[in-house]
Amino acid sequence: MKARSRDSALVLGVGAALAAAGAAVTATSPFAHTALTVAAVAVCVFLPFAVAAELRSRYPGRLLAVLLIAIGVTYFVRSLAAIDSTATYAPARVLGQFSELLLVWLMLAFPSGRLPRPWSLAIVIVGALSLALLWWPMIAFSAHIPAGGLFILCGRDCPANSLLIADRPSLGSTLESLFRGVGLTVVLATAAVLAARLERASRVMRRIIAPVLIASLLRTTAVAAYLALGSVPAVRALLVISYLGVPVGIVIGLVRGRSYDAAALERLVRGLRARPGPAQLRHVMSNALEDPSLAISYWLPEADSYAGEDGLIVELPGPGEERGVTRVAGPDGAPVAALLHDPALLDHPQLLDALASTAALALETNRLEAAVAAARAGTITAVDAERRRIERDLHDGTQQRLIALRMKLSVAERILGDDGGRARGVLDEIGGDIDAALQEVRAVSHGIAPPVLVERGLPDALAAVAGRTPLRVTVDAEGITRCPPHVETAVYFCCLEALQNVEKHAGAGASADIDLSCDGEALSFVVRDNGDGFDPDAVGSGAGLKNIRARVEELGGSATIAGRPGGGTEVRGSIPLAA
Amino acid sequence: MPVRTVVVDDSLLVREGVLRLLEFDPGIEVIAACGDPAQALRTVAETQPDVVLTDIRMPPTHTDEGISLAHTLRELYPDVGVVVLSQHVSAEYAIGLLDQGSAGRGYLLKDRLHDLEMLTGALADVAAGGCRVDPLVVHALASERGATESPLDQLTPRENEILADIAEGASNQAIADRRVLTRRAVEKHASSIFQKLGLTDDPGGNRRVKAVLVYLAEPGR
Repeated sequence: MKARSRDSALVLGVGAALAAAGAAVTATSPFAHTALTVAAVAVCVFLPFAVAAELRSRYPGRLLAVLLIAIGVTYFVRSLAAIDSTATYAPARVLGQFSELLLVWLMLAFPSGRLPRPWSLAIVIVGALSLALLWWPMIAFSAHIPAGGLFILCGRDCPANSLLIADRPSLGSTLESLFRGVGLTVVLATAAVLAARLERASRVMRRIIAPVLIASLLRTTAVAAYLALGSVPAVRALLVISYLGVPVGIVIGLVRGRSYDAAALERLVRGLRARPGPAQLRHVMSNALEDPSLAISYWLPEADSYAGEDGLIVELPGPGEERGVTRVAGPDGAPVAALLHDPALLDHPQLLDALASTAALALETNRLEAAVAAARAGTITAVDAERRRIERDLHDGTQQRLIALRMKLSVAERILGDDGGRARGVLDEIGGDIDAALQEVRAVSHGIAPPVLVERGLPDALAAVAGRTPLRVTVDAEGITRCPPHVETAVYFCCLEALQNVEKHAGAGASADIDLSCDGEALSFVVRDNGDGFDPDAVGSGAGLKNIRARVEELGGSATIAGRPGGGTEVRGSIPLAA
Repeated sequence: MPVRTVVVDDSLLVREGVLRLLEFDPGIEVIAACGDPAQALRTVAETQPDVVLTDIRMPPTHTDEGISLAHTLRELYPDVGVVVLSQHVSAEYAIGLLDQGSAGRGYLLKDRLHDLEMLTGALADVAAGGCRVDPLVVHALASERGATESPLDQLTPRENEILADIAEGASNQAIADRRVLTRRAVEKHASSIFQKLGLTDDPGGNRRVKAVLVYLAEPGR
């Protein structure tokens, strides 16, 4: 921080010194000048340094500050043309013109400091070539350097051209016209590129570059006016103002960016106060940053990578790509999430820092919730698989053994024939016991994972249930194919539970309808009865109905139970197919 | 001539039990015992038995291999009868077995394997091209329809005749020819039968098979 402020002070100091020197040179010039000219020189030299100092402290290492400093220096050089000396005049004119090129470069490189391909880069290259191939040669072949431009006070009595190679007035004026044509093209192209960029820019970026664009349009107008009308006082004033407009536009853009930071943070804090869930958090953040493209990826330690909100692994973009990335870490430094956003936000490191620390807790909560949901889905699947395994073990082992045992007993009875006496009675009893054991094993395994359900699916399993209850039950399961096992199991037991409830509450002779439907995303069921109905608010939801709700919600679905006295009861539920 | 029988079950215990039990009936000759459907198909090809007694649930998927085996045998060896042993009282499996025709097919509950008379009776019936469905399964189906008394009592004598024809696997046209009726009249009788048996709300062809099951379940049919 100290180094940075010392650095700024140095830039400001150099700027002030050069501005004072430029002003002194102008004030002591033998050519005609006013106090306003002196002041204008001082401001034009100093302002770029002042903005450069600010940029250096905000974006250290960016080319922008260097460009601004160079512009300040070239303006100082330009002011040296006010000295009545052949030694300084021509070099000042040659080098002073560089300020135009630097100005174009600055506008095109704002705010990143880079020159985007191909147009911006091409414009700067054309500008540089026009200086090298048209401007310098023109001076080399013109005894009288065409007057004009800012701070060129000598008019008709300028010092001799010390850089003259040969006086070829016609070549000189041709080169001058060419230079002016190319120069006008360059400023027009710059304005066009900036306008196109503004159109494409995100809202954040727009706030920042709009003032610079306005300055560049102003600058274009001034240059065009100068080329059309020559160096009349009004045009000169416009040139000064438009020149100053560029650094001023940069400053305004920065201030707007900063006020955006504050507003964004305020929106974020307000949004987070409502404790947004995983679904709303992205919305809150993108709202706060005014960046609709914002995406959140959560860190998955097991996968050693980030996953999007849909749970899919995400490859984070590297630096310099279309999307900016901000990593959010927990208090222990462990990664929590990564925000993918408009790269313009990278110019707001303080905002991103604040954002990351403000949202870290909410993000960590969401990450844990996502992890818990994933674990729960895994558990449900595992439990389901385990149930099926137990059922299979019971069937293949215990049931077969009991059946074989029962047959052996039958064999024993036949061997004994009619001679068994009292033993026959005991064998009969054993037979009855084995039958009872078989039935119990079957009931248990059926309660764990009904084989009809496992093997033939919901429609058949529910038809079988319908057959077992004393109610008249119709099942409409048209078009229902196989669904994930855990969904089938849940819907099966929910319908079973609902039917048992109907049996208990709806009264004798009630009938019920079961409707299944599947839209490809969720399996839905409706169990309706025509019984006496009940008021769910009055008796509270029965234990059975509570079980239905718990079972459905455990799988990320929802269930409603509605009933009116006299109108029957309706249980509705829906379970997403994807865990 | 004893009924030449192939036994198919993946449980060695059950296979051995069946063999030992069937030894008591000279009317049944077990010519082979297999542990899975593939082996059963090879054995049937070699031995041309009268009937196959097969478990329903076997490798590889442990679901309804026995029924698939019955369907395959219907195509390859239509004269070979198949009795499927099942743990499922639900009629859905029996319907699955019979939906390609009930001739030479039987569906017994495995729990009652020890009942030698019932088992040998079913094997002999099915070997002769008949159809046997465990009364418990049909009873479950009947109670599914909410019927407490014999549903057949509600049928007219004519409807009983036609149900018997349906049970033999005759089409409506065949019944019309046999009973000297118009086809439309047979269809009317049939839908009246389904209605009386409480089979109105069943989709598609299952109705016919279920009617057959109800008919088969009646003692003294």
